[in-house]
Amino acid sequence: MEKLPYETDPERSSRYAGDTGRRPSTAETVRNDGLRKIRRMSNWSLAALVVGIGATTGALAAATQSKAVGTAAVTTTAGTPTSAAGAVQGGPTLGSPVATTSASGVTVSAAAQQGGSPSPANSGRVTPTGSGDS
Amino acid sequence: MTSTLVLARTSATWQQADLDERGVAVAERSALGTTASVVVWPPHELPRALDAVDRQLVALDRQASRFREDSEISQVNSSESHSFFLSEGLAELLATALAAAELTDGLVDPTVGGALIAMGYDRDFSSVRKSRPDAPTVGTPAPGWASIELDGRLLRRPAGMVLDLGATAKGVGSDRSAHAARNSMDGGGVLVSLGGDLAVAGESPQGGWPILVAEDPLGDQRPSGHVVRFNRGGVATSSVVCRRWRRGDRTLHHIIDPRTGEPAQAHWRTATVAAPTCAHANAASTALIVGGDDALDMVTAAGLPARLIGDDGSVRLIGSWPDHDGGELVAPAVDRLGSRVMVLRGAR
Repeated sequence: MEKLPYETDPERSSRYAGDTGRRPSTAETVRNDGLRKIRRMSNWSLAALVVGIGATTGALAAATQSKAVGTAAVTTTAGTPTSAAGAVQGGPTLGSPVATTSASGVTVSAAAQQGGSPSPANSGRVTPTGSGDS
Repeated sequence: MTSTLVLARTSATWQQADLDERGVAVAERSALGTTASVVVWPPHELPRALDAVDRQLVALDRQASRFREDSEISQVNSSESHSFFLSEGLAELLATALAAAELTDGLVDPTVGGALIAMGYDRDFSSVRKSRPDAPTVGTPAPGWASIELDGRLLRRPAGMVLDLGATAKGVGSDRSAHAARNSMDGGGVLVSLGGDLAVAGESPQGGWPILVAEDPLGDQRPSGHVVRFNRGGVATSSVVCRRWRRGDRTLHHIIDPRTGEPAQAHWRTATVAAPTCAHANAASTALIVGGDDALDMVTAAGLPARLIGDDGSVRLIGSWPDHDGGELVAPAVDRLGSRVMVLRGAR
């Protein structure tokens, strides 16, 4: 395969490095080499910095996420917020039924189910009776 | 079950029930012609939950009660107009009813209002005359849900059509109330029952909410229910053993077959279903009473657990319905009814 001219021509290479065509002095060569080295080191530093920031961000994100899983609410398709960690977190243990599903529109008093008696609730709110059977 | 079952005697104000269970607080009051119950943990969240549920019940009654002249649906039903711009709340209720009709292939239909009135169910059930000497008129098929157009909040329906949202509205009310109550609380969970249509929101008690599935709470000799526990969605029961009355020599009930306009010739006398939402459960249980095996195919395909009681009292369990007392009742997570409602509401 034929090589392109500037791949083998040091003159062109140096011109591409920004030289004006005259041969650089020894001092200039040393300075250029130094700048090149600094530039190379800066590139490495930048790369290292980027990697470092990335790693730190990732670690923080992971930590935040793992913390959130314990308490976050998620929405199911039914729109019901439930604990992402399951529905059994911290709730009471109930031994007896607290509600009844039965023939349409007829219900059993929860108090009656458990042999208790009703007393006025402490919401203190009087609400108009719904007269309809929707 | 050792406790005696009696009808709740509730008033218009919340009555807190004194239970053996100390981990929850329970209150009940009459609403929508039936009993509303709210069960909350932790117990100190009860007042906030009740306020939230109250707001939902009052709104539901104003939107959808066929027995209030000033309700929005009564105004629609009595109007000769064809087009209406509905409130957000009634539009959602109607969209749910239409989605249920679509999902059940018309076995549940909101256009049965005229048939219900013809059969004598023209007022709150407590006021319906339980025995009248005159025979009811012969039923005619319901106009059909397909003749209704709902575009967002814009309703178009044939003049004279009487809408009845009884097969889904209580379920929607339970869903709305449970979520509103939970949103008002700092944590914990809530169960709301409207006449036995149950919905839960938030975190469940350990092992789930224990509920009694009973056919007839009047405590006669019919087979007693059993206890299941559920963690999400809703549970509803439809039955022809209650809400019955006589006209002439016929005994009627409140579940109308839209295909005939007559009380459904029930394949099962009682059906209980668990679903992602109470509205969905309510629609499915009604469809099972009306459609029998046709509805059973749909319920099975949707993966909804169900408990059916036949005329002879035999019990049939469908899908994953638990076969032992205290078993876990798991409703599927995918809410097909809700998805359809979203489409009808224009939230594609």
